[in-house]
Amino acid sequence: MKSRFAVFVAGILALAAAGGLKPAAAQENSSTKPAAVGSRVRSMVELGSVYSNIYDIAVTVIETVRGPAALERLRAADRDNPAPRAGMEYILARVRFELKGRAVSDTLTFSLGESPLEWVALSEDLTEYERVPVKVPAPPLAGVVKPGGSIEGWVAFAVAEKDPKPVMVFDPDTGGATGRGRTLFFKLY
Amino acid sequence: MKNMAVKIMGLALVAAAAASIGWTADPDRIVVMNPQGIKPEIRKIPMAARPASLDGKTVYIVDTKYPNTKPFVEELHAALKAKYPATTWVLKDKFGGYMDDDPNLWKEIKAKAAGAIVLVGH
Amino acid sequence: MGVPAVPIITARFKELVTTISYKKGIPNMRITYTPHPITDRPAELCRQYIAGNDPNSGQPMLGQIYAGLSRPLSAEDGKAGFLPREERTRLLPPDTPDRLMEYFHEQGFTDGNPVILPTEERVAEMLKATSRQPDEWVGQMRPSPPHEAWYYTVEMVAVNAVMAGAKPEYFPTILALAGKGVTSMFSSTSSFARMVVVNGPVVDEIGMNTGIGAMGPVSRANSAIGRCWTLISRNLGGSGKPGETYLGSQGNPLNYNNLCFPENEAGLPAGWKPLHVQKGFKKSDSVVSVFSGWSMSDIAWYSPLPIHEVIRGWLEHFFSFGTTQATLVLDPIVAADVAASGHPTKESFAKYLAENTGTPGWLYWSQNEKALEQAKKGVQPYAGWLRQGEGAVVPVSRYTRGAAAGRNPAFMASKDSNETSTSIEIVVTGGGTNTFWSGGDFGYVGSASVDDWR
Repeated sequence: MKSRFAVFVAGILALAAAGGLKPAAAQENSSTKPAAVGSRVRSMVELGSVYSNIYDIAVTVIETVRGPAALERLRAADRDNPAPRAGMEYILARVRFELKGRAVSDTLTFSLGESPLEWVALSEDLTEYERVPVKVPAPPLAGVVKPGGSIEGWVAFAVAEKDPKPVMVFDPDTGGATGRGRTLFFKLY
Repeated sequence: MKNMAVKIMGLALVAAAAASIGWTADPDRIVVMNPQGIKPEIRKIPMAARPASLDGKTVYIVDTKYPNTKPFVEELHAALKAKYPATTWVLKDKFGGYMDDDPNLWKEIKAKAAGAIVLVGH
Repeated sequence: MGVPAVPIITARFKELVTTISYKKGIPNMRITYTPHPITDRPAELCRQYIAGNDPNSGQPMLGQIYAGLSRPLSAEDGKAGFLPREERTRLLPPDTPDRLMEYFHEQGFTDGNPVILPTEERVAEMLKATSRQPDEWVGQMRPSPPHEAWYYTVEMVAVNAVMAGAKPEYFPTILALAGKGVTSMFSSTSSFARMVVVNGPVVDEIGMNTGIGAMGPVSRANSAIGRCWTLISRNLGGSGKPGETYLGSQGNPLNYNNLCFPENEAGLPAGWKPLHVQKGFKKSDSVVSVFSGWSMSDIAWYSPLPIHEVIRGWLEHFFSFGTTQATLVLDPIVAADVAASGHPTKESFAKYLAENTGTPGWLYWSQNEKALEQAKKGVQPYAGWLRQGEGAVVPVSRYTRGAAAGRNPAFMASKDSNETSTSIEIVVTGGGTNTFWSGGDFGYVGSASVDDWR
């Protein structure tokens, strides 16, 4: 009796796991569910100033470098790159940004790196860190991406040394007609 | 006693699991899917710090040019100049229609002004 | 921008502006309100408004504006971060069908008519009609450019397709429409309408009606696909909430079905290309094409004049918000008569119409103040036109590209169109029971492939 009951419970639980408990969407990216390093996050942006068209994008944080190693790379890029403020350290993130149009007539481009709000680091409690005026190692995460193309490059942040789980935000909705879409979140750890 | 507790826990787990796959205690109740889309996270934008005083400063009044609202804009300009003469009030038309962006004007305001009033529509 | 800024808005839009500023991340934006409306108010009245109080706060308007630019911020106002948002669940709490239907109405998930409740079984059936994965992104949609966009997957579109009463075979067409990301309920006080025209093999495959009653509530496919666009716009695009994401002063009845119909390609005169071919697709492609406008008139009229002249005359005097664009929906009999009168292509007829229509005097002079000034100073050709009388038709076309005769906001300019010299689109549909046709102020927005979503 006991064992049959246990089997019954296990069966129901298995059914539940297979059916009602599956995630709503594969790309459930949010501030509480940032994507892991190496995870390719698919999303969309609108390009065009009035009646815009939807383009598909994918963003991947390929690798991160933190602390003294990051400072070393920054100094190699430009020896005038300053040391971080006391209590802070640098994180470098190498990011790939891909753009794809949906129709042959989708020829608009996406400009990366024009807005300081586009790539921002957040602390574990989602407070924004200030931007750091450093020259990143080549190639920078900046430039014009054409449909079917991609750009891979570095972006730099300064985070608190004691912050174990900083998060990077990609916000395409930083004004104007450059490209508006969903804010995406990525682990920098 | 222990057996009873295990059974009760098991039943509770079953009920929760059953509900998650659409089974309910009431056979007349059904589960349907959410028709709504995903709403974006709202990123808070810190407001710009205000100057201690607007005396001696320049403020732009930006007319978005909604049709037939010029009289209001011009009256506002005149009224602000009269009431706050220590501030320079500059009236500017935004480029294009009221839905068009004007990055050049924003650059100008950032370079020359301590504040901006944007109006109005309808 | 990093510069203190304050907006001035008319009081009628308090709800709109406070929700938008919250969603834009500035929950405590320092807004000053004026009495509503401001447009067309004389200077003296404007002066009184400005000298008076903000109708919302009761504070003197000028002082409030000044304080908005100079009063120190609170600690909270200067901080960045994220504002709380309710989390989306995939399933709704269980309830009886009757109570769920009421809930759907109360939450604004419907268009006011009953819907088919989207159980997982029904949605799963819908999903079988596409090779796309349920969690693939389809699009993002916003009520109008200043608003936030919502994002949606194949599964979410399927939920709304079930609600609209669509059969699974309609689903790729619905996905193509959803993938354009254009809301059917644009948030404007002017109550926009939309139109969707379907072309290609999918029309017959799914039983769309190109004959009698093509633009009316005759065919399940025409009805469900058009209706689904409204449900998608409300539920996946955040549109349609009065005062917040929908401001149409009177609303537009065309929003129920969004003028969804297929082109009667078999009824096209020889040489007249189907709409989707005009827009660069192959005849064998299945395509949805989206239009934006405000109104459509059903012209049932007998005249001794040839039909193309009746159309020309209507176009010349036609007036609505969209004064510089037009779409003609011709019954096949009318299209045949027009072609026989010397128009071997749609483009030829559109060009003829654009070049041979003027602008009614009252419209021209009211929209072109500088031209009126010149006319009064005796400058030609304006003076000559004005001499005919202020009501006489002015020989300036509203329908050639870049026409200045009308004065539409930039957001009405259509894109994605082929290189044509006119803003007149022509579509053919109908059952040929009479020589009637429809015309409206619709402009072409864009097209999308249905085949990409099969």
